[in-house]
Amino acid sequence: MQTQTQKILDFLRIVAWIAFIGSIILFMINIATFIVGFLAPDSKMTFSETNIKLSGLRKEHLKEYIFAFSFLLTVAFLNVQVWKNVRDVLQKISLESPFSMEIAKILEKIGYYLISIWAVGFLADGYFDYLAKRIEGVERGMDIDFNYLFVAGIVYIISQIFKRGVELQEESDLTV
Amino acid sequence: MKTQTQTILVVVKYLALIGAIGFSIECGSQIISVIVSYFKPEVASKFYKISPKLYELRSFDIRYFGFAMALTIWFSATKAYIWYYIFDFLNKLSLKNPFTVEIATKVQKISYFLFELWVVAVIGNEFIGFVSKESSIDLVNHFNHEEYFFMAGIVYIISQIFKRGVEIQEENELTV
Repeated sequence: MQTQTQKILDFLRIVAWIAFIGSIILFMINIATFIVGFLAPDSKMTFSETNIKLSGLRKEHLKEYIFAFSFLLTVAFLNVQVWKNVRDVLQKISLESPFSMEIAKILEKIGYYLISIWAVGFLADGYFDYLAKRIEGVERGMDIDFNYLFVAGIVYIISQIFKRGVELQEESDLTV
Repeated sequence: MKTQTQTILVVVKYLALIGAIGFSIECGSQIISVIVSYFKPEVASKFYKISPKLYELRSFDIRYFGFAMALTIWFSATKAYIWYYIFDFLNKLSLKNPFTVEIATKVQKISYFLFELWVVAVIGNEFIGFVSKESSIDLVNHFNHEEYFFMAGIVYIISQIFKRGVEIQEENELTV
């Protein structure tokens, strides 16, 4: 018989897949926007909001344009990584023993990815603020603050609890 | 011997406490600011973590101000509570076996709190959007919300993994 948690996990597996594919698409859109904007600065193609924000940069400030986009691409890439790991962890949970070091490691990795998203976002934010001051027509950053770090920290903490649990279990297995 | 995870958990416990204190200060400052604003509005707007724009709103319409403040206070109070909850949770964690239903439920509860934050933020943003139109006071980005939904999802997934793990463990114990 399936327990409720099992049903929820089945559902979450699908959600994680959707989020994973979604994050890949977003990443692709960002790359496409970057390339199109790079090759044809006059084109009015708008894939996303970021394009509108940054398209003004392309003509006169190429270096800044590349720099700003590299931040966006990094964040999008890290997002893909987060969801890839979430998907992996949900796929592996159907094993006999869920409290394995493998799962604990993946969870820890998710925590690290989230914290790096914050770090990159924070840098990007500072950079956009700097650009906004120097160049006209650039909007200020996305206002990423320490709140994000705090929420990302929650995931990290939980992953550590998980890891500690696995360690305890291994120890008690050894003593028996 | 202490493992690395144990050390990290101790550090993280105190970080959680700092987070709880930090958000409590934020919340307390907002509450005091509201009280002071009835006597001296010009002093109140200089409090910690208070957007001076909110006080422009106060002179526009005191009911709008009251509602925006109530949401702001609720928002920071929930954040403070989440961090206190995590601190408390980590304090009690030094158990022999961390993989119990109790802990799994607690992790799940954290995800519900994060979800609540998201809901409050969405309501707050909608409200502020409405107010901005009406009063032409720019309060955009008063509540950042995307990250909470994202994090609530990830924490929820982890909590379900936890729960499933506990179930499997209990089943195994029964069969032995």
